[in-house]
Amino acid sequence: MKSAKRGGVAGGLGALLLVVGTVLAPQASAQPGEGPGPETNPLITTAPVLPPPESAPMPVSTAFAETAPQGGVVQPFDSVPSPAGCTGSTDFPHKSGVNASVHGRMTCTVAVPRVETVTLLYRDRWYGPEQLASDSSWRTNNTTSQDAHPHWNCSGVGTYTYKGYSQHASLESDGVRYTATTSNWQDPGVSRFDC
Amino acid sequence: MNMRPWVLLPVGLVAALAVACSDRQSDEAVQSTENGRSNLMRTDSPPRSPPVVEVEGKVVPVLAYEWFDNESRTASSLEPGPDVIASSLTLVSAADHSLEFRIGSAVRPSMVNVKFFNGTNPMTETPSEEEGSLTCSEDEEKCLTGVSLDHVHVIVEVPIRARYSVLELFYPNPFQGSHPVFFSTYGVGIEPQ
Repeated sequence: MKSAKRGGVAGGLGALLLVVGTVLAPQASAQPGEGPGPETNPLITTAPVLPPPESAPMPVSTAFAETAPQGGVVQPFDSVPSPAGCTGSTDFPHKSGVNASVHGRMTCTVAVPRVETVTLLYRDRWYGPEQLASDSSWRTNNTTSQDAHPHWNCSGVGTYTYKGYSQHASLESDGVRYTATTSNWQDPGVSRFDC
Repeated sequence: MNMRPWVLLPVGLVAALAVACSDRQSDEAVQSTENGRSNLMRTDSPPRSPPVVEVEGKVVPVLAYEWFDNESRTASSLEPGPDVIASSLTLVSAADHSLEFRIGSAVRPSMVNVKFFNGTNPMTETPSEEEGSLTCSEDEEKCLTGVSLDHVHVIVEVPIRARYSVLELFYPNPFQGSHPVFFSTYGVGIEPQ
């Protein structure tokens, strides 16, 4: 049902598992590469295979710093904006050949240890979003994540509204990770089409 | 603001509660997105499971969700089966053309969408003919949100012709990059006025 067409979130992030409280700087310095993620498993699985925390390449897509919130516990938090002025954005989904496609990215005013964007492409159904594809892109010591751009072959499926949804994360020089979510669609304009 | 004054009263109470509980939640927890752009902020963790949603005191079953348990590292998802049709949705009155969704978690979603439908697909018997959709952070004249001690409230203006409404809740997952977003959706039928 749900496929990560290229790279995929899981791969792009190395199926990253954030263990809150991990020391950030060493992991950041250990990050080997940059760019879109490798091929990987489908985004949604019932029993995802994840690397142990110590082998995770880099914690991203998160927001917490030193404190360690446990799942399900409402945590106090502040809303300190990104010191590096990082902003995320999602373009409107559009038709590209036989594909539905969307681009997401984030940019900062100054270079930060890591910038990452995960973008998801959804097809709008009456009961809610149906996830079709995902992609991620990241850079280290940079001001931009560059584009994450999932796409999905929509030939012959009929007319639908497509929605893009991005999760953005920056690991900044203060050791804190900051996140934002963005989305975009135009209805019934560019983002509603028949392939 | 086109919403009726009585709608503002509970919103005011909710807002007051939000201020009173500011040590737990921030009004800026919901990261608004305008024209697909947003500033990055520190964020909260999502609830363990799709939250319970009530409308007019009635629990509204989940239509669909995609979730991830960070402790067991398992993902789960749900889509409505063929038995979920328009007539099976929880019926609410939407008096004065307003709906209040009571979300059973104080964690504010990163995004709240509300869709309306004014017809039924004759083939599938599911809601169709979308009347419009709102993103609450962008359509504040028609959709208001607030947080209390243990709930998030969404109050939305209902189009006159709407017969069904679907609430979509999105939460960012700060722990698991392979599942960066959770969502759950809930549908109600609206009694004719």
